[in-house]
Amino acid sequence: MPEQQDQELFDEIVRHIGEFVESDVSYLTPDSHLATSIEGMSSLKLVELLLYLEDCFNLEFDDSVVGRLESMRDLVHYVRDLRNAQQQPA
Amino acid sequence: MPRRSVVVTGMGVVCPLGSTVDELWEGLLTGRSGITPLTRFDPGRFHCRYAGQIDDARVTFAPGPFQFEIKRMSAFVRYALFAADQALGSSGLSAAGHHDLNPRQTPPGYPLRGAVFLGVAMGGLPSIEAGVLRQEQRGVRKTSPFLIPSLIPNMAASTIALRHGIEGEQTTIAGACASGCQALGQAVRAIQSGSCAWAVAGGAEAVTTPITYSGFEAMRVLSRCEDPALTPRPFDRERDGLIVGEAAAVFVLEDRAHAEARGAVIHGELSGYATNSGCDNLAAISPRYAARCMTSALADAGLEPEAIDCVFAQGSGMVQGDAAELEALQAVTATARRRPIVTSVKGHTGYAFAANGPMNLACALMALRHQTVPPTSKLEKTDPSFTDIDIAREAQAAEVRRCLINAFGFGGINASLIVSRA
Repeated sequence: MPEQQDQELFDEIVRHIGEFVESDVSYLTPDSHLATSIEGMSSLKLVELLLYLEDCFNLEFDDSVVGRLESMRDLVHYVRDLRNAQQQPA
Repeated sequence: MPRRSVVVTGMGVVCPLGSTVDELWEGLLTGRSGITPLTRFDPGRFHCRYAGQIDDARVTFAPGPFQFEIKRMSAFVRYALFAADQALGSSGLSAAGHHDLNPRQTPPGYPLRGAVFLGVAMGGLPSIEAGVLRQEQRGVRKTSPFLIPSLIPNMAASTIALRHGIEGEQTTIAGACASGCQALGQAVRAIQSGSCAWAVAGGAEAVTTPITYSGFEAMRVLSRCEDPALTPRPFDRERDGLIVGEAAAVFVLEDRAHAEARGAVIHGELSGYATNSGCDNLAAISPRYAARCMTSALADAGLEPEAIDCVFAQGSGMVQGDAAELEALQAVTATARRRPIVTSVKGHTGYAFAANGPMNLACALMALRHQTVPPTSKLEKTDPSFTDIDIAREAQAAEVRRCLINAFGFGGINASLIVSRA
């Protein structure tokens, strides 16, 4: 994840995930797998996590995204792209 | 072959009087009332504005499996689990050797042949209301994926089984206000049959939410008394209805031979149980069927009515319900050489639906231990119909060897348990 903006977004997402699971997840890396790298993660928890992140970033994720995001890198890119799309003039 | 004896080896309670069995008992004997102005929502539009509420600050959980999920469960699940944690902890049943496992991932170890039987009447009504409001306010897609798991009635038993790694049968009974008593009875029968050696059993309810108040006000069963110090008042001639209470009472029941082999402390024996259908009315208690249920429980225990020292009544404070229960009791004990003392704890705790029977069992076990009958709080002027019945107004020392516990539910469900000194 070479770009500084992506790194900052990654750090922000890690912070929010830590708030959500109420534990230290600073061990996460861009390659960490969303479904298996976070202790106690389950399919329901992942859906709830995405709802939580929607609120944190004031975004609305596509309903199908839960099946498409595998790694932390995927999540960072998805949030980045969605943010950018929202900032584009209509 | 003699029937297996089923004993109580663990107790756990959370209710408006406190978060331990000792706090409950102290509250009963000192006449403390858990009925207070309702704070879970603004009750301004209802006639009844009181409840027996649990102090959620007391309901905490040690690190362990499913910590995240437990926080998202409806209150009845969390209360049931809290009481079950106490019961299992006090039973000494946990197997040794699991302390080196990761407590965040691995359930504690318990002997095999354990089961869970929980009674829940209305489940997660507060979660249903909150879920509807959330989708109205924020849209359907903002619904939590934990909404359904948090509110389905079995989740109390399921969470206990999951968190504690109990691998046998888990059964949830929805028998309205008799649910918890029926769950205890089913656990007794399962242990008697040999299908399990021990079981976590009891009941939980937490439905302090607007739909409960609107529904029960429509049925005219909630008290409209404006002074929480005077309501509910079971068996009083001025009783005018029930007050909603929150509670969970959960026990470890065990085959006596299994309990004695491991040197467990035995709090009492569940020596009789019966349940039946009162076919007279959808919502009212049928005196003749309630009497038949009590008589059947006595027969199951091999006892005559005079063997009962104390009755822990349903005694809700409802006009018809209290009269029907005592009419039934009069019939059961009509020819008895001595009659039991009757008491109701609803004036202290409120009416906790599925948890009524298990709460009564907790109180009865303490009465057996302390040889004291707790008072019927707020009873001042006994209904003239009940003057031949010895209703405990004050805490009184008495020889308490056996107690009868009643619980009755909508749909004509009656359940009675006999608990005896160990």
